[in-house]
Amino acid sequence: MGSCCCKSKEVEEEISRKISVVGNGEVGKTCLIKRYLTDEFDEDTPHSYIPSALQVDEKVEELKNGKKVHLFIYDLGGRDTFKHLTRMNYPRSDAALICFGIDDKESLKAVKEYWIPEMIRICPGIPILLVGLKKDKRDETRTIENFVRESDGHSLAKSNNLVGYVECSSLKGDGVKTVFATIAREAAKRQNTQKAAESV
Amino acid sequence: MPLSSFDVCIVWHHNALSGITRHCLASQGIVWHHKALSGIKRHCLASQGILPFMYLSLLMIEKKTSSKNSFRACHSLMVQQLLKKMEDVHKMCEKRMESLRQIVDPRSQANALHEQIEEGSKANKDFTDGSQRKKSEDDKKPTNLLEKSVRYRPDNHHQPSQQKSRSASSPTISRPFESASDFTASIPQQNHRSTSIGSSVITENHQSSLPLSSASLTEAEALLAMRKRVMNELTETEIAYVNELQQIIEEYYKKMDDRSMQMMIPPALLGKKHVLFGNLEDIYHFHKDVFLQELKDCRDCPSRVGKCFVNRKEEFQMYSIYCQNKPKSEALRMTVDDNNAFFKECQKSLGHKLPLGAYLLKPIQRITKYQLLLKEMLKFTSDNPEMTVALQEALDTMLSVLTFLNDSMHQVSITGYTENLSNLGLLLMHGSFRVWTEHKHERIRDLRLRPMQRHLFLYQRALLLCKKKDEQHGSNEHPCYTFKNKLNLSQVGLTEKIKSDQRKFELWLRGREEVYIIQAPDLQTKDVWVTEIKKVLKSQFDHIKGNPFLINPGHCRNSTISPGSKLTRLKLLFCCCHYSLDSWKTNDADRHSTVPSGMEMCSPLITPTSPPYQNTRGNLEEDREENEDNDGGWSSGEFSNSDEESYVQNIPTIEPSYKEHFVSLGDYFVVDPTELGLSEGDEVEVMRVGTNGWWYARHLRTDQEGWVPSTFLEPVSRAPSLYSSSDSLCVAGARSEMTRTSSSSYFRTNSPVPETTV
Repeated sequence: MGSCCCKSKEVEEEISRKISVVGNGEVGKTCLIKRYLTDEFDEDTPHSYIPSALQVDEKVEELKNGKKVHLFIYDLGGRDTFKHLTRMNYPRSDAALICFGIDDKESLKAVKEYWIPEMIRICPGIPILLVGLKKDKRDETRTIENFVRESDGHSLAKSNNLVGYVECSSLKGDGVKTVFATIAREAAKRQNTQKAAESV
Repeated sequence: MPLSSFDVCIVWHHNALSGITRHCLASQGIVWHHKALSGIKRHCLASQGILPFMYLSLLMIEKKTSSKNSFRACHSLMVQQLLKKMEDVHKMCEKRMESLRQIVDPRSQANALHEQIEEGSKANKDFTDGSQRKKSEDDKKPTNLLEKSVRYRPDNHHQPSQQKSRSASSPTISRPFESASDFTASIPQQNHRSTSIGSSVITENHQSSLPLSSASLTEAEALLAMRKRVMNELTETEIAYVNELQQIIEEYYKKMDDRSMQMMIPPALLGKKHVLFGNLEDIYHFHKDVFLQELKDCRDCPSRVGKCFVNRKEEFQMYSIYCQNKPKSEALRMTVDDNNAFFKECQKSLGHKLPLGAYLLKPIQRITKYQLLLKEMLKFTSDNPEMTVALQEALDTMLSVLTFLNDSMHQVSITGYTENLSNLGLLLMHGSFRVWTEHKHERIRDLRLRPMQRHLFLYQRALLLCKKKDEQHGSNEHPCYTFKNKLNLSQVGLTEKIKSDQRKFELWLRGREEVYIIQAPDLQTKDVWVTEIKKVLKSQFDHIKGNPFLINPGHCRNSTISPGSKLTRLKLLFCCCHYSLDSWKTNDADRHSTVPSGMEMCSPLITPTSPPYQNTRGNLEEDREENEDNDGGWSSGEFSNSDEESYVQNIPTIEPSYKEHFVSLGDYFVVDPTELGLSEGDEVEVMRVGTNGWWYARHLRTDQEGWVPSTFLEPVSRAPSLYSSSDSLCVAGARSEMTRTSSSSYFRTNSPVPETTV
């Protein structure tokens, strides 16, 4: 991950974006963020699992055009039991990652029925990326019936006009960079279009 | 042995870099190095902070000394000293990073930098690549062997890559302990550390070399260690939370009153401090002065932590004020723009990366976090049933607090209700139902055949029927409810079961003059609601019965009531209260008794087969014959329609809103120094609600604070002529003047209803 040494340079014209990460509990949101931030998988987490009722992390993501996006990643608690409380966290998000576990069909159902409508309602118009986590679990087994198929993810993203669908494994690390690169790009794009609209 | 100092390091490290490198606390063993270093590296890169350099220099000292056991004591002393010094530095650091540069020895800084680069590049490599390096470190620190093996657990779910890391660390795992004593000796140290231990694995791997006793011992030890780990997380995050709150209070909240800052503050923000921050200051003081201290007290004894939560339930409920204010605060920030000069200046002086908005979310995040931590801790209490019970109670407490907060957020969206919602008591439940109404009264024969969809809010004192407005897509954060109707629970009767539909129940007023047929979406919901309504109705009486305040008049011995004051009348009211209470009690065996309204539903008479209406009505008829008072239905005729009755019902649930102003109805002389004296007409501001009707209030004229009997107070907003229906007022007479016996004897002579009724 050593690529983030750029931070030691002058912080020039850096834009910051709030990224909310939501999804059912225990689908692996915290691990995903951790993998992105530190490029390591914390083996402890599954055992000494202390769910995060929100934590804010940050990292600078460099876009292909050289622009830097300062991402503030809000690891939002997965429990929707107290939705009026958790709901207070979303406003002013610039983009969102809606997560589910590929090994957990219930969590995909929750995405469809709760998380997507909720996000669209509270933060209308923000780019949303659908993220399938724990890809490794499907890869390693032969019985795919219990797992979410990749096409399911794509069609769900498409039908809801999301930015897209990305599968990744926080354990192995594949796909993680794509997730954040995509969302950083989309988040940066959005403000640009907004500002352009204002100036007209 | 660097273990103990490692512990402190971790804690310190965590404090200093909390948030960013939080994972370091949880990480452990030899890998700790790897993680801590990469964490530090990240932090360095991210903020160019000076702290990590110091931290690394500490690590270096540790490494040098740790190879020689003889230096252990000296070493740990050194580290302790250094640590203390660094903590001081850390404090300053919060304010000024600049001054730090001078404090740090340039030489060690240079060394540290070197170390950092070297270690950083190593740490940067894939986790599994580090086995060689790790092994060499093992040689330096033999005691870490245990820590490492400890990480190897059989209950791993993430096979593939962990398989890899296992094989990477296998050389160490397979290395046997030199002796059993070696192993047991290191156990206490293990526990001292704030890490998790899966020692079952150790026993599994080294069973042959271990005596059985120490193996079974470690089971309990492991649980203990896990509990301590969670406990540590709880305390550390609490410290971090208090620190964050302090920063906001000091650098934002207080700056709003700072003259020198006035120029920068956007006009829209002026005088809106309380809108922007809600009761953040109270929350801060509670956590700093009370809760954190209590947590620290049981840091080494997680078994007591449950009590901390249970005891503070009331205080946690003050988060509802914060939560309900949050949307207003959010809206205010919207109007002033997050990037205004004032916010920017505060943010800069704090060195915060995140804007104020993120910090204003902290209380909400924190309050939702406790239950997660408690749940986590509950997983490790299998060896201690007592603790399991205590923690479960704490968990239930925090969950109920959250439900309360969540619901109180919900009610924010009720519109059209002109009175104060807080006068209705706590919100207990809410949900959507279909409702039919029937008016029995001839003149208003209005039978609605079509049901209405209503959202019902059940408070301790009333049920609100609201119409849910269709949510406008995206524009409003909360659904909107228009207030339609209010049923005072002190006046309703309940019919649990309706023959036609299992999901239906009825609430009715004035002897079924007005009937609300309520259909729940499913049977389960109905049962929950009926149970809850019953509970509320019943508690209204239990509360009066069981309230020691009522029985012990000594408390208010010194108070005087001017003749003709309102309290005199209350005395009278109170008698009636006791009458109804006593009559209910004495007639408990006889179901056909004159039960105060609202209690009927407790009678099992009401069955689906015999329509409750006729049944109760029959009794009513009898009662009425003996009773000359015969206007209206029985339940209302005797009690409900009178002021007395409504006051009786309201006793248990006086819930002032935060900082609501009250006026004293009489003179109150303090009995205890913690109390606040009152003269008639004095105005106070209620700060907290205590038990048994005591409120903690601030005198608006003298600014003194102390406990006052709520019974002496009347909300300022209310017109004095309404006193007889004012709940808080009514209680005053009851609590301050009467004893149970005197009141009952009083009513015996003055009661409007002869006792023979029964």
